[in-house]
Amino acid sequence: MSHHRVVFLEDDRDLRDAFADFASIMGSDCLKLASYQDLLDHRGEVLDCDRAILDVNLGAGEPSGLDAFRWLRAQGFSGKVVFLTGHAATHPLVAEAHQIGNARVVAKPATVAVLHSLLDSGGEP
Amino acid sequence: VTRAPGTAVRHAWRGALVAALLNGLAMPMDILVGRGIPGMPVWPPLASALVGLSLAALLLGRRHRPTMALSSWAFVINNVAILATLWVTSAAYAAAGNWVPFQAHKLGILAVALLAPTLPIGIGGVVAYVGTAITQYQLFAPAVRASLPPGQSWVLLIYGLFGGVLLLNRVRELALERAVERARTEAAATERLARAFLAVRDLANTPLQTLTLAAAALRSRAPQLEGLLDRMDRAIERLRRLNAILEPQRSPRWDQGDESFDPAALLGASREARYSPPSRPARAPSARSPGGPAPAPGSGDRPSR
Repeated sequence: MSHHRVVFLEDDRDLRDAFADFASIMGSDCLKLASYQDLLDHRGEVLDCDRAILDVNLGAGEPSGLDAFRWLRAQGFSGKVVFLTGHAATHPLVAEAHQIGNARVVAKPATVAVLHSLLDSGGEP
Repeated sequence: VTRAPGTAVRHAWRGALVAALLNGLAMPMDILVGRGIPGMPVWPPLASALVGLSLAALLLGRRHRPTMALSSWAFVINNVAILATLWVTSAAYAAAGNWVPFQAHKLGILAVALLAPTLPIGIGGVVAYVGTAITQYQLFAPAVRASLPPGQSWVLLIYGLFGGVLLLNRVRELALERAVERARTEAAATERLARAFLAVRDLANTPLQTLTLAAAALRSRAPQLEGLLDRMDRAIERLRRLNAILEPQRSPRWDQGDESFDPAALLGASREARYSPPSRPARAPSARSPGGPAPAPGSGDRPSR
């Protein structure tokens, strides 16, 4: 089991907490962020992480996980990025996420095995 | 909640209204045309026009709540008034001589073909115009009949045939139009349903993910609860399968501004749209650009490790 520092960007508080708990059990540190603005506000901590799990839809009228992805890359974040989404694959944002070559898209609810692989291997399929 | 009248009812109402207005406005002209004819009564065209205008007023008064029955009865009454008037005036015209016979009946046949609310009423109307004209022609005195162009019965039958064909063609076109409208309505309902299913999925997926993770955490921390957690995992798996079933076969159309939406708001809009005419469901505001104003306080706590 490898130790990772993970950014978890998700607008649902319960899921953030549950994931942080899970990551802790898996021996990883989790930086829980609720919004795109949180991401900007915690730039230093974010860039210390080596992987990011981003919810695609961060709420009506809010910047999306794709905006977060673009910001991360613009900041030089070189870690693994995974999109976690509850939307159908045909949703425009999810379709766009699939177009991004160096990021994996995982559908909610992902199984424990899949989530384990995200933390263990960094989102490699 | 009121339903908008269907295509057939709207067509029937419009046809009956036009027929009544034609009667109400054109019949008084017959008084002018026939004013030099000896023995031509004035009251039948006036009475017919009055019937037409009254029916038009009634139909206009019910324009927001038209019914097929009202339109059908108005159309029938209107044409009975016209036929009765033509029976009286045709006799006077024929007796006066120099008359091109049954022109009004021929117009009536075409008008019925174009305006009848239903096929049976249309066929009845065409038969009535042809039938009364031929009957009257046969009842004219031999001297009167001899003064008219020959073969009038055949001419009227040919008009009746043309009227019938026009009527059938129009009814067929209306049926096609109704089928198109029905298909459009069904497509809109399917679209709403697909969006509602997606919204249900979107609403359910995050809590399901939370349950999955919470169960995994519990399994790690309290192995003695294994039996309980197995049942929980099975329940989550069943919900996961239900979720897969809810994925529509065909994706709904996604438009600009649909990128980030509120599933709960969409479900509310779907419920409201159930009894409304087809329309696009309400959409959450478009995603704010990252450079825009700061987001409103969300459901989240502050970031933490």
